[in-house]
Amino acid sequence: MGERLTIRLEVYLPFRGQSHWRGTQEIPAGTTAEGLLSFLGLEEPDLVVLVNGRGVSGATLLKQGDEVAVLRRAEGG
Amino acid sequence: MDQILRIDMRQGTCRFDPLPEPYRLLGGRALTSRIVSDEVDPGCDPLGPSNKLVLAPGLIAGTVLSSSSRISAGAKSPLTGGIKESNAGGNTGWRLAQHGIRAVVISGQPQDDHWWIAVIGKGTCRLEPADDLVGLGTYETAARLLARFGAKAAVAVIGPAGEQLMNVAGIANTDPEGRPTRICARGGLGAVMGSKRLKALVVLDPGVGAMPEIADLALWRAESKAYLKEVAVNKAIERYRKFGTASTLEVVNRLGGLPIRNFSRGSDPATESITGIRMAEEIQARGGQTSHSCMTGCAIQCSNVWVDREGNEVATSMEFETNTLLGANLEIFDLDAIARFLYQCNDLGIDTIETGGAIGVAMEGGLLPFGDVEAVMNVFAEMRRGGLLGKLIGAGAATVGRVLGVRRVAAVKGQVMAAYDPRVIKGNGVTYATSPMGADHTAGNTIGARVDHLDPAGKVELSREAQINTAIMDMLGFCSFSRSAVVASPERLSVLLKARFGEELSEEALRKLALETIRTEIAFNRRAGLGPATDRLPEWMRTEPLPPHGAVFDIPDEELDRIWESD
Repeated sequence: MGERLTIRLEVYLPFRGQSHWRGTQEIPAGTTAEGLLSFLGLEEPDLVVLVNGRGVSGATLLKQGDEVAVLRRAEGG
Repeated sequence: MDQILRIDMRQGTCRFDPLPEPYRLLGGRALTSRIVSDEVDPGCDPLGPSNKLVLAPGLIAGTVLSSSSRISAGAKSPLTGGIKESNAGGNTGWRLAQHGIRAVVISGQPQDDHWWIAVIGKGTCRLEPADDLVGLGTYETAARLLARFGAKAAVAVIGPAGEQLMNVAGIANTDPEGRPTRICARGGLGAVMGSKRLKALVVLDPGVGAMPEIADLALWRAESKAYLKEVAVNKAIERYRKFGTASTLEVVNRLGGLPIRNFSRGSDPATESITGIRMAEEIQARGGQTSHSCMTGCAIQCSNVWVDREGNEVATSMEFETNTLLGANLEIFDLDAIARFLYQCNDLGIDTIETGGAIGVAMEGGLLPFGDVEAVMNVFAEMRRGGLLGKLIGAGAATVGRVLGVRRVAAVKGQVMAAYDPRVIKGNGVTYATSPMGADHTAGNTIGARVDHLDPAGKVELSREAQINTAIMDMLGFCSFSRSAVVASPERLSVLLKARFGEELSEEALRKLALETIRTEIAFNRRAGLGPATDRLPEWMRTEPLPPHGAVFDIPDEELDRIWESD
């Protein structure tokens, strides 16, 4: 088993039986922001991944202790 | 033939003119701003007889093509002192376009104290006395007019705030069920209508199947069908149908750019109780509507209907901006309270953004406590009866700040910012500063871009593109939420315009028209005395760090000044 790291995760869409899930999550080291979605099985298109409150590219590597939020893209009216 | 309807409130007359050739391919914002620029003295008193109020449907309005019949209102703004365009859904734009009316230009002021309504049909318009409607809220006014002129008419109405010439007053347009809840809200255009003592415009039902002249009906139908198919399957649009705009709150809160306690912090765990997810769950549990069309034919249906615990309708539509400016910004994290505020705003006919911003400044100035629901309800009561507190809030956030000595006023050109703090959402900061509309997110919202919003790099270009694309949509009458379906086929706009007008208008030509519109507006503002120094965010936003990121607005003024230089 490869190296793993722990992130703090919030998912603002149906996940693990909840409409808004939050907790800690172990992921393989080397997981990217985009890869996290696949790892979690989140297949809804056009999701936004924020790391420590900032928008990041899909290729961004996640680090130990990162605060990661997964949300639907939205625009106010 | 397309026409301009001119209503002279001084003479009490209506006249239809053929649409001048230079205006033929202008609609919505492009047309309101062009007419205001051509006909209104930039130095005039916005509430005096020389200002004109212009209402214009978008270029392709008037059919049931989804989300394409927005109505633009334009004038010199009493709030910003510059040119203003504010657009809304509802059925006013649809009905006007069905009658072949491309713009309504309302000029002058009555020579006596009486109030009027304008009743508009196919080639007909008359002014009727309306003193019996004075003082009524928009709901009662719309209900009476629809009972009198038919439930299928469209009504554009002002409430008590517009009658009292408040800067926060908008023009409320009825939705397909007759609710006056789709408001051309920003910039105080309801006060301009009130200054002309015009309580409402009623646009009569032209009958089944009425639509504007379409040059190539077969082409129109084919492209409409393709567009509707895209609207039905487009994933970005599907989210608006399920959650409306309210889910933007959790995004902006997580980004740390949500206005909380009068723009003093950008994130708060208490917002959990007013997220879009929470709102949708509550609406479903209570039997309200999580999706609703604000205009006839809209398939996006981002609107919603909030009901109380007994299932009785309270207000529509609970939007991100409203939930933030009248909620988090006032430290009120209670959707039921926000819905009560929204009903009051709709009935008074006022902008929830400017009003929420003004109340936030008043709270900071100690005039009322943060988090106090009943104190806010009292503000609305005072606005309705014309009390001093109501008039102060009705003057807008910048005036409240000056009166109370509050420096933290998040406004540009006297207009309060929407629910994106520009110290974090920096692209929107550029829009707030450089749009001729003042701090108006609807002029070029960058929140949907996949960027690091905190990083200042590239945000001038991002805002410029957003502003140009928005001006195109506003010219056509399309809702901005339809954009992903509109642009799914790069030729779609050109094809629709060719079908409607029989003339090729390339994407490049549309961009050129949009840029010309923005430059026309800037030129008006310069002539009105709004120089480059007004194209700035307030100084405190460059020095006061916003928690949790400790962010300030750090895009240099020189970059802001160059935004409109290139073609």
